[in-house]
Amino acid sequence: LIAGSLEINRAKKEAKNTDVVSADEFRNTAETGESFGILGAFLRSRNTAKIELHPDTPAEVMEKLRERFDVSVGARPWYPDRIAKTPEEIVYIKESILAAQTALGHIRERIASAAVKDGVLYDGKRALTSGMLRDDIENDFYRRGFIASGSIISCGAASADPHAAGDGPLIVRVPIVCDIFPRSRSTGYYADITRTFFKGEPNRSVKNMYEAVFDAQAKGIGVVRAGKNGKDIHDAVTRVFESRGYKTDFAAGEGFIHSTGHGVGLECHEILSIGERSCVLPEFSVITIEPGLYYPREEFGIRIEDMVLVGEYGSEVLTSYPKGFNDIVIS
Amino acid sequence: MKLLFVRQGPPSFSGYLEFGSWYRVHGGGILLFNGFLFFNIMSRARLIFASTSPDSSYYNADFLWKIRMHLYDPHFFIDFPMTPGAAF
Repeated sequence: LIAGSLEINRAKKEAKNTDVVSADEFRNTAETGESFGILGAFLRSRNTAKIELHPDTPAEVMEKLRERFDVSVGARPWYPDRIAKTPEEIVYIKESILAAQTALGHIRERIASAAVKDGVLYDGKRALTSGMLRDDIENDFYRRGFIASGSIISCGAASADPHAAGDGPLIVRVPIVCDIFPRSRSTGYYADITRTFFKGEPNRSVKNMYEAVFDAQAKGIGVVRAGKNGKDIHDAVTRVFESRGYKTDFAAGEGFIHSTGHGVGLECHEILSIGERSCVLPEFSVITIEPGLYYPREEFGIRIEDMVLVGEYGSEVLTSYPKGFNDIVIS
Repeated sequence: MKLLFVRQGPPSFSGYLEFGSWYRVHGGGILLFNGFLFFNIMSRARLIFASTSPDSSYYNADFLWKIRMHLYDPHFFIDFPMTPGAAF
């Protein structure tokens, strides 16, 4: 790590797994005093002329480096070891999961205590909205040492759009999709969990659909193990929907229109993708299994998401918030 | 590590590896042969130019995973897969 005078002392104390080098050591031999000149002097001191850049390097930085060095762009994953989590990382992820589940509990309480008038949920004299719940939980996350932004609390028509954050009053007997993904402000690790609540029991076809999503998720979790190809897990989930008669029309955005899951860690969406592309799951990786069904014309969608730790012979479900039909229907 | 390399300079007189002969390594780096060991005298570096603070537009999770400290401003972080001076 090359650090200037602003960060050199802190970097020497705090940086792990690295040698910290002062930029000022190389200022005299640098062609120019700016950071690229210092980098050049440092690399010359190490007899280095070829550089492989991280694939997220800004284009303007790459152009400047290309003037001085033989530059190529490296592949993902940059650090393959980052995919499997250490016991310490799993503890950090569990801390974020606890915060996320606390937020789900808060949402459930607000929905439970809401009055219903003309099919709309009320908090006292005000309609209870997606925005109110989002503000509540995101403020609470900050107080607890987490950051969450853009938490999804989508109701009715908005729930049919998987990444719509949701807006407006909550409505009785239609899905309220709550997708919560806080990051710890101290460790940087994410949790990602989704529950679909209902205020009052929905009709039979919506209940059947919820059970199809529930069963598809159980199937997906049941086949997770180290060495398994993510595509096989996705195919298993897809087959459950097909066997229940839920067809997917990608062009219309109807049915099971996204992948089954993704890796989670220092990024909410890490490199593992449990979908159409082939990817082998390493032991101790942490992934989500989050099937959903979406029907924009009928104006609703349902998703259930849990995080699982990939084991040698199976998986451990890290999230534990209740998701049975009787748990998510709130009277 | 792959040791796929090509001899640089004129052909070997004896047909064997010679003292002081040097070889360019596939993927970067130069190996010097001292009659007994190879020494890596030119290496390839892997470079990250990024920040480890998620609030920064330069945030890079790989960088944070590696050094475990928060740096708001972007910094250069260099890995040397073939450490200069290492003998093989």
